[in-house]
Amino acid sequence: MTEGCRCASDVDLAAADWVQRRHLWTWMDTDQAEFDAWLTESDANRVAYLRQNAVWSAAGRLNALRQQQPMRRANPTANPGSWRLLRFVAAAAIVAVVGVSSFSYFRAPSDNTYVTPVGGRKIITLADGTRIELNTDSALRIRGGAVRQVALLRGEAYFDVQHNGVDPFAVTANGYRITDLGTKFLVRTSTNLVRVSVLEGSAAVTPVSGQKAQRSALLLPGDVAVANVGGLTVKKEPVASVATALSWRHGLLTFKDTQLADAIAEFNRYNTRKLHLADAEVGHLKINGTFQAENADVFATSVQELFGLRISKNGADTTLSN
Amino acid sequence: MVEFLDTGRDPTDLRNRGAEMTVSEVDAWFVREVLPLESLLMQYLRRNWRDRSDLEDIRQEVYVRVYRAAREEIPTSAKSFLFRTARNHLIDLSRQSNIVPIDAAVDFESVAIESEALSPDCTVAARQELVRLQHALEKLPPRQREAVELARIEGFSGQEIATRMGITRAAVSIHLKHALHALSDHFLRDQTDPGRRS
Repeated sequence: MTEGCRCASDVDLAAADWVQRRHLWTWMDTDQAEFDAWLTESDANRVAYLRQNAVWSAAGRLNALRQQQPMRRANPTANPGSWRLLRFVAAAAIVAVVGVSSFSYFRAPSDNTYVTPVGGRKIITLADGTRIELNTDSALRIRGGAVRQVALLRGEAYFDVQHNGVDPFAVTANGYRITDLGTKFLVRTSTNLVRVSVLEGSAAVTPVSGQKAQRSALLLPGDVAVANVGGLTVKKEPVASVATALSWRHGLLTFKDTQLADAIAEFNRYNTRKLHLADAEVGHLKINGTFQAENADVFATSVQELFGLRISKNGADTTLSN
Repeated sequence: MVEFLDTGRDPTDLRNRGAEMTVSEVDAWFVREVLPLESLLMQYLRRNWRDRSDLEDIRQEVYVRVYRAAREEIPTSAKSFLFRTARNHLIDLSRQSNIVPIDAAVDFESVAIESEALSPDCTVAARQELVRLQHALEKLPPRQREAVELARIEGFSGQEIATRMGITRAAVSIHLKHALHALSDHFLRDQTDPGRRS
């Protein structure tokens, strides 16, 4: 109970201290142990940490300013009002790329293609603040110049688009164009198929070539559009389940009444060591839960225990059988 | 409103690759759905609780209750669940302390609904996030702000910040700790939030 307690600001300060310690200083196993202990000490600590860390992460977007101001002021505190933020919007051709193992800024005068390997992820921040997160085994091309156009060549990407009222943001994938109106949405491609899920705002899906038989759709939050050469279908899902489809952004796979065969197909997207099913019947078993995408072994063991399956290893591959 | 889905390690910072924290679905939900409502929550608490010095503790307790409940099952509507929890907690508190917050007792239901209606346009607010960050940053004392800029805009490590600012490592930590604490309050409760206009 909070009655008689004045501890919230102490907890918040402690959380802020942990955030800066974790992000800026050498971090030893002993620090990790201390941190874990603090974190599990109370839910208040954990919640305060999540809050401070979220703001720390958000503040990272300020680095968009850096590209506009390559020359730092000699005295950054001299004139607070001169902090010019909005000018960077004009410089849409400049992108900052944050890879899984690199940290760099560079200019993009022409088209840029970003590729992730199996198991990889990449965050691309455009100068206008738009964020693109590229999932495993994906490729994305960003057009040069001031045009806000990207092409998802393969795989899956999450878009958190900054709407600017003038210049719509467009993604093309497998013959369809997704045009946003200030939106968060997910685009996943597989052979001849595009799936677009909208979390926030709205987005229009139209065929690029404009064939008569194909129709367009305006998507709202929770809408999932599946488009292929045959046409476009839209179904409504709870926004929460669309959000679940994004757990890969944290390196996790979340299953809810998912058939084992589908779950295995998901794991195989993220790992070079593949999982197989010996018989199709086993594939119909339903599973629930959240797993680390890169740790197929843990998944295989869980499934083995849950359903009493057998695991056999053959080289890099693992086979589950009845 | 405010959007930040990064609940785990900041991918831009890989100095401390050993530093791990397991981020659950609930953590991600809390950051994504609940934190952006902080401005509305504080507005609601201010209206319904007289003693301003209690507000931060009340907020913290409401968050903890919401988080614990979400661990059992993630609520379908973060907003209505947050305000229901806040209302129940205020009622609990007033019973315990034997204080009847008169305006609150009358108004619990209507304010929650009103807050719902005041929900800002996500699209508009998302665009404003950088502006809000900038505002929050400008409210910091100069040295704290400098430390944040060096860390988050320039991407320097703690040691590099110490060298550049000509202060000890401990002093850098203290500046940053207080800076982030203040930045969080400013940023999550920015006055430009349309929810504040009443």
